[in-house]
Amino acid sequence: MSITHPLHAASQPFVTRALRGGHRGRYAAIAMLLALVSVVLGAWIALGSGDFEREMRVGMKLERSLSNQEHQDLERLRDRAYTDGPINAEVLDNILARQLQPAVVLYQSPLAVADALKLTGLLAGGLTLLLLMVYAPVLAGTQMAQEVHENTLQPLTGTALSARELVLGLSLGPAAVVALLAAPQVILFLAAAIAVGHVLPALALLLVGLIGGAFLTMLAQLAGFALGGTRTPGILGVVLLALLAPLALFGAAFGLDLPRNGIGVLALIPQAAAGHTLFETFLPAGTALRAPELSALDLEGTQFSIAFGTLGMLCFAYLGLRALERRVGELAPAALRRGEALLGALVSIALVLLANPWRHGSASQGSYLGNLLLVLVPLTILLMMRVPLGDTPPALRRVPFTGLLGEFAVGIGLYFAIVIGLTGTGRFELLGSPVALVYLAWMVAVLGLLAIRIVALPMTLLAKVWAGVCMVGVGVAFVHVNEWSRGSQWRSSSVVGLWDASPVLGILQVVLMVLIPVLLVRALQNRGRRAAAPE
Amino acid sequence: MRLELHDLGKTYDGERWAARGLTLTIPSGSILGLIGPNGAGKSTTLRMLATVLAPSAGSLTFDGQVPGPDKTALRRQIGFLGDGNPLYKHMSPAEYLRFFGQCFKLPAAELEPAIEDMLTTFDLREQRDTPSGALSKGMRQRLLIARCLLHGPRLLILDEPADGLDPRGRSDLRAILARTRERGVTIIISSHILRELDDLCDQMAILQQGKLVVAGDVADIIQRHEVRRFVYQLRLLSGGPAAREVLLRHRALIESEGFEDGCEALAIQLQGGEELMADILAALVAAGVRVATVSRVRSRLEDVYNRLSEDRVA
Repeated sequence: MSITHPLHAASQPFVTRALRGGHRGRYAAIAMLLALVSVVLGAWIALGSGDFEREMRVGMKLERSLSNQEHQDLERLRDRAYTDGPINAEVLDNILARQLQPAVVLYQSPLAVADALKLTGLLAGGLTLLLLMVYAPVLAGTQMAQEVHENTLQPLTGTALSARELVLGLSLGPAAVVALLAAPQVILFLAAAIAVGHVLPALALLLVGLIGGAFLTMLAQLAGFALGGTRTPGILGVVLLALLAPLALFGAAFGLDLPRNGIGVLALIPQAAAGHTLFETFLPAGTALRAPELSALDLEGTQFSIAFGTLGMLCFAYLGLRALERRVGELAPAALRRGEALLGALVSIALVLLANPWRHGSASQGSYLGNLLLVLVPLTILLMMRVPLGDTPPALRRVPFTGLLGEFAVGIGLYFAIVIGLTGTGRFELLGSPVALVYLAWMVAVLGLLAIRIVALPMTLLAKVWAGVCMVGVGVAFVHVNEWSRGSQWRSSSVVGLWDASPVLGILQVVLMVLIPVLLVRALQNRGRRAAAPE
Repeated sequence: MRLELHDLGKTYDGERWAARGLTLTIPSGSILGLIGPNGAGKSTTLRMLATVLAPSAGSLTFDGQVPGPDKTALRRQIGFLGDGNPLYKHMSPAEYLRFFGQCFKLPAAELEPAIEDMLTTFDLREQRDTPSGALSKGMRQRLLIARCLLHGPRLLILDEPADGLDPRGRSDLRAILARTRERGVTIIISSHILRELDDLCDQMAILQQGKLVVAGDVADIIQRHEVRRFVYQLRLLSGGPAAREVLLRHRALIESEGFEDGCEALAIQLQGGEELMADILAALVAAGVRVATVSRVRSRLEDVYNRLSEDRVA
């Protein structure tokens, strides 16, 4: 009887391949080593009595520095002197004798074993997140790029695996490696959470890590599939690492010092949500060590943001899977269907609105425009996934760019409709400025046409340079939208903003405003070139 | 599996057609030789037949059925070796076959015996645990072909399968293909080395610049194009003049003369079959000519190809 269960069918060949031979033993050994590092490091930093360990604890705000302690003691003495209070002459003599340098006769870490367990748990949790949200996507994206680059994907599409099974398998192979490496860390983390931490945030961390990791993995695989044919896999891996590693570090830092007006960011950036839940497990916000100004209401807000953001990432991961499945299996010309793109647009808008502090009532006129910039990123990516490709030659490819532009405009219109629905039209001077509206329409059209052109047609060197010029134009247009949607004191005297700087620049701006969309449209239009009719 | 092509074509740039107007029928259980020079459209055609490349024009049926959007079930019945299919360098032959066997959803109970069978058939048992990157080109090619046969397909499509194989490897490949055909598998094989296909193929199709020049049963084609001739090389120890008289009497055309390994070598062309050659040989011996060796020089397929095309092949 053949293997019929889809997940089993998908995973078996790729997991077997990933863990074949001596690989399983090596990964297990590395996993145990990492676990040992977490335990030893946690205990050493928490309980060590050397200068290095003390400095580490001071740097992590787990302990006050001795000089700070001495300084505070001296300040107390000074205050007592001013108020004529009793002064401990012996303490004063000791400080003066040491010339204000702290001296330690016998130093011991102020932290206890429970703190060591917390630190071990933090390290284990942090390593788990690094594995899920950095290593897994980099590994999966690089392997996908390698399959495309070395043409080993084509034989796989000719097997009994469906496109979905193939894509799942290509994800599950690297996931098996990560699972093996992360297993001891997860055990350590959960054990520490049960012993000295909070279990619910710990479970939330694993959920956020898994779903966020799945989303990032799909994104990395899409990038690998798109770029594997033209870029070496190693370069792509380095780029992915350069993007994801700083994001992970940002997430950890942001989660540690969570600002009140940044709670919404937890919905938008999964690394921030993961960082927050990691620290919530052992160092809850609202305590002395972490974000003491956050109230109980704020903390409820974090839970909502994280839950909403996780659902959003789950949605994006599903859309990524569908897109990859269609591209790998050549099941349809476009990677995403219209309904799927619309769903992605709505989720993107919701996440951005949740993330931006403007929703808390900031009076800044430009905040909704700042949100628009954020929303344009996912909307543009979704638009690119709507462009029909497949095996049709570029010269024969009919790109329905007007329909696609319409979809793009609908997405942006949805954003404004939701924003106006939430706040009313009173704050939107944009709506009362025809010039701003024209610039906005131009900006949206050019951005949409450019995105379609990049995907639909080959990018020569000249095309890349031209794309750069177009993006500069989009940037200039956005500046004009911003200035014309604010008070008159912000506006330039001329509708063509660069005219104020120089008439030549002004003429150039006008020329480019006409030329850019025209050339983009012409590039996308099929000029009637057809293959010679069969003889 | 029976294949029918109706005006099949493919263009990559909308102007030039890599293959166009391909119409032919490939009977079930036959071996079709797809012949043509480099750039004739052989690989493109094979990829369309393997359903990994969508045609730009025309249609293709398998056992009378047009493939639907989901080709998974059909592809389970096809073993395809395209050009430039590299191996996973760090996987050994056993691991590679196991991987693809699992991709073809072979149950474990069938998979391991199938792997052993393929390793034995393709003489890779000793290299079963050697990383593929360390194998010779011939071994890698054998492994790729083994991968195509592992799951027992009904249609086998091989693009230049003998590329990189030594003479023994090619001989073994011919034997394997003959055995595969006996199991009722339809085989489509492309090559520009016609000698490999001689006596193996019962169907042939010649492509020139993307177009089908001729296609059908080999015997019919030879009959149709009056390429019923044989070329033999004779090496004579002595009696050259007498040999020429015999050949003239039997209307054998001497294509070329020379010396080889100290013997006079004559390449002769006959308008007849092996019976005529046997008669000539008897006459030569009767005339006192000392014949060292007699061998057939060129394949019948090459005769057809040379007659029909402008390019010469090996």
